[in-house]
Amino acid sequence: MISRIWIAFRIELKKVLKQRFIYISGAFVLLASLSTLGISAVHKDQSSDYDYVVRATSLTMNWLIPLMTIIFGALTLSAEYTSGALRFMLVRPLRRVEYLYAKILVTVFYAVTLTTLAVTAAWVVIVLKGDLAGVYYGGEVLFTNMEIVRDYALGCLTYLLPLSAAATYAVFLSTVVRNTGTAVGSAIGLWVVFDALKYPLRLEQFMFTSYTEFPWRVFVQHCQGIDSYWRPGIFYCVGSCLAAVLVFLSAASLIFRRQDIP
Amino acid sequence: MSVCIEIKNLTKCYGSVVAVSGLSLEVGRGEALCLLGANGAGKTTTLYAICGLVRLTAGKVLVFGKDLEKDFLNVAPRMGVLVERPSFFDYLTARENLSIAAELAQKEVPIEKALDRVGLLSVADKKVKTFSLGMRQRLGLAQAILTEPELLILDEPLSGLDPEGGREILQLLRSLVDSAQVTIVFSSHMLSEVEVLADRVAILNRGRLLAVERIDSVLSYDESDVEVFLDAPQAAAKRLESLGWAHCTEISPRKLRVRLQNETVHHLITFLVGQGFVLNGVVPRRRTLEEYLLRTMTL
Amino acid sequence: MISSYIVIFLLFSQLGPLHWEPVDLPGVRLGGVDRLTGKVKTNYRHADLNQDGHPDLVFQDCVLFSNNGGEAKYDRAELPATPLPRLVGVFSENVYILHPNGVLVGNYQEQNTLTFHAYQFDGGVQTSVNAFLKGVEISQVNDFLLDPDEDGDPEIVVLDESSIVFLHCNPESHAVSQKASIPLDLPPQLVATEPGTIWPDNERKIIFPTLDYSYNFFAQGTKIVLCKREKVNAGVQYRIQSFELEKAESGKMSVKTGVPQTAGPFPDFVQPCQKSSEGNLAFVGESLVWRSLSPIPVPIHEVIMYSGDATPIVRVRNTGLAPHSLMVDMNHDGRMDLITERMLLFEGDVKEIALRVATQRVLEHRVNIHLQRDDGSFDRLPDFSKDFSVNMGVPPIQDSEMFRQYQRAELIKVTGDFTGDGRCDVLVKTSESRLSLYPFEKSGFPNVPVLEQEFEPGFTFAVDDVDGDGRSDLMLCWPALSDEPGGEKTQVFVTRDSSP
Repeated sequence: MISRIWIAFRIELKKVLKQRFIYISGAFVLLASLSTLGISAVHKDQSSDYDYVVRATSLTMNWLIPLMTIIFGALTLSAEYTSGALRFMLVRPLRRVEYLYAKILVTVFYAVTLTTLAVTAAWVVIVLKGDLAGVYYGGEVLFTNMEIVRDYALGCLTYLLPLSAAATYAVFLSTVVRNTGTAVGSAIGLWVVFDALKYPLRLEQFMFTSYTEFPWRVFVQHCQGIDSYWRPGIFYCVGSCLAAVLVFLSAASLIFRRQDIP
Repeated sequence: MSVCIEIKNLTKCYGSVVAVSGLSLEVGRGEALCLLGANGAGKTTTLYAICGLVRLTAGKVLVFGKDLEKDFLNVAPRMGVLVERPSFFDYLTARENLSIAAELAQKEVPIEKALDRVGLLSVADKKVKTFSLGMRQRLGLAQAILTEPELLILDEPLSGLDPEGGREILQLLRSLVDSAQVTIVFSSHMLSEVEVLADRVAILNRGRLLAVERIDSVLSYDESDVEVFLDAPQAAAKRLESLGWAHCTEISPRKLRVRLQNETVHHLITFLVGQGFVLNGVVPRRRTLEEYLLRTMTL
Repeated sequence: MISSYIVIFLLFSQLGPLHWEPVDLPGVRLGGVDRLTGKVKTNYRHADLNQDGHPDLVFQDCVLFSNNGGEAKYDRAELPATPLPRLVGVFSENVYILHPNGVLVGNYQEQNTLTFHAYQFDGGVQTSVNAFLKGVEISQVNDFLLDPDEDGDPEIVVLDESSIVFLHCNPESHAVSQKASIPLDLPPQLVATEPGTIWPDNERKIIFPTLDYSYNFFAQGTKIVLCKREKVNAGVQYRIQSFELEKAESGKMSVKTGVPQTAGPFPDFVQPCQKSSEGNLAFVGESLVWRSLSPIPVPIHEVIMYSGDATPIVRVRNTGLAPHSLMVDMNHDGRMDLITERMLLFEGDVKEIALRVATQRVLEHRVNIHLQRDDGSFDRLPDFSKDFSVNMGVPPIQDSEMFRQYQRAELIKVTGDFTGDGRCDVLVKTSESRLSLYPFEKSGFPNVPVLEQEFEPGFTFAVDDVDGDGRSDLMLCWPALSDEPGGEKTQVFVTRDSSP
């Protein structure tokens, strides 16, 4: 099974690399990251330029990448339903769930690629043009550069969780909704509905949508000289995101396996 | 002949609409079976059920003796499928699309050969989005035969092809059946193709199987309906009408069409020769698939 | 409509052995809390005048004698009329009234009555008292009595235009004479025009004035410390001058002047405060900036504390507005602990903040306690943290009165000791009508409150030990329904053990 998923994943990857969307979204992320230089100028002046990374992270990681991941995920299967190309794949020696897993993996891969691009862009700029000297207030070092870099690295790792949840969620919707426009619209719309309801229903800790920003919280707050902690939020983040992955994966598997392919 | 496909009591409903109802059918190895019927008869649904694209509401489909639902991974590598309106990844080239199929089959396959057989080798590296409908159809056939399958499921295989191209493809498919003992289950509305390709036909109407017949039986000669080529058709017609067992249904300057009742062609020939007519030929009329189809569906 | 203000007192859920019981104490007023000391401003003082073991309440115009202790029933006795303005204070079991013509000292007789003795000012004293009373309202309770020479008799501490003067009431001559004075270096015109800025009302004992040219005055046993604030280029610095007061012959006090010290420079928002009961000084400041690393500016509150030099001993930054109190001795070890708070409303980036502002009814709020170590240091990371949920009723975007109270840090108070164990407890207004009590224990805070009680909605509350039983009590205040003066309603609730 794993070898077939791996083959399907490789095929999906080849397909993705032939699509213009991925290059446009990559360029978009780069542009967004660099555009924050207009708000946070970076100079070699002995003062740390984490503000730029914070702003670039806020724009790319908290908005663009989750949004693009959702769009990408929602399009994966629905586009093939619409074009009929799904039939081309599903008459091959490949189980439907294996194809589904490959789709989710490639969506996660897409999100990780964009993240890597955003991270690289932000840090290359700050390394080449700015300074990394720790967080100072009143001449006192509150957080060293090493601590800040560690926070960011941990943020990157943690970010995989909400991204995976978002990818699975979007792919799940693309199994349910067969029209591309409707799939993308409902993926974004439902996300907004989840977000709008989670606080009134007091479900925010258990809703995976709360955690796209969470991985960067410690980094951002440390950059502002504010103490911040991974715990207990990290437990909720891991729990909620894994639960979301499991729920959406199971639901998508169940639906996709039983579906008639038109 | 061993059984390649065994359909047992297949029923498929889409909501409240019954697409196929209680269909039971067997297809032997190396046999070409055509599903015939009007639109909505359940042909495509049956083909989709055989290749696992739709879930069965009831019944069972055994392919190569294996339950398709449970043993899909063992069946799929031995099967080539061309469904109606073949779809590909349009942003990839023809070669890239076929390489996906090859990679999933997990075996070395001659992509060039497949493309060459359907006449697309020259456009192998063009993106599919630039292809015409006929080219897509050819590519669909190429991907279906790519892995040299033992079973081909083809839905309207010649749709969109020009006459010459259609003939080439027909020859190709027929040769697969004849020389490689490939089983083909296909549907078509082009009865002339069916007559060439099919070994048997199955008539479906409103989801039900009405009849299954060998094509040579369907297309057999009707010895009670003959065409007689002779020197004086008008005179011969007058003489025959007086017999009572022969009725002329068509008279032309050099030919006479006669319907016989309770007598054989031999009697007819003997009578006409005895009357002094010069016979140039006597041909029994061949039955057509269209007649068979219409007759079966109106029963 | 006044009747509608009658407190609806519902025992919502008796989670622990305590409850709050309404008592009829109409004159009691609890004011704001001094943010650096946790001390609540009140219009009364406790003194067990009748020595029945239950503290009595001394107001500006009367005394409420507790007549049967635990039942919180009081007999009222009026204080004698004097020329105005005047200050009323207590020391030991005596009531002191300082007025322009002299001092009245009252002590208990019997049947809840006080007998007052009049003391006249000596010649030079009158000027100092007049200068001192210039900034006083008509009549108020105040802490103007100290006993720096520790002879058991209090000294009246007043401020004139050039010095702090210690006066003594001589029981034999019935005269009020000067016992000692500490010179001040003040701009005369400032004293004349703004006496309050030098020594603000109601803050005579420990003060933290924020304006320039003001002094901070700390009394600890026989030691008096004056901190003079001076502007320097980089901010402010404090000149610290200590004085040791001792009883001398001829009824006077000797003043030994210590070596002057300078602390700072500090940012200009830094003020001195007492860090422990031993009188150690610290310099504490707080600032609030609206930082915007995302499209929504987020308030960042910074507390910074110095010991004397310009290097901070601790600096804590949090998202949120100013907390209710900064320095409170939470664990009753004689050392002031640092309280910081975090509004979790502002955690995260723009999406979550915007969603919370637009949709979140129950806000999460974190209280951090940074305990003071034996060496006077603090850890930047809190020793204890507790998250509280506060039901605003409506999302913050609707700007309810409850949310405005939250912004003013009126919903969470850490200065009360309701359990009587000496440790401060956290009292939270968890909804429009509910107060929840979380005791601060050695291991931190319990997950569930020990007491939750419902009240008529719409109240604000203050905390102090009103009945003097060693456990903090509540005063609830409901605003007036109309602009009609006197329309607001207050009610004191004393903390009582629940009957089994």
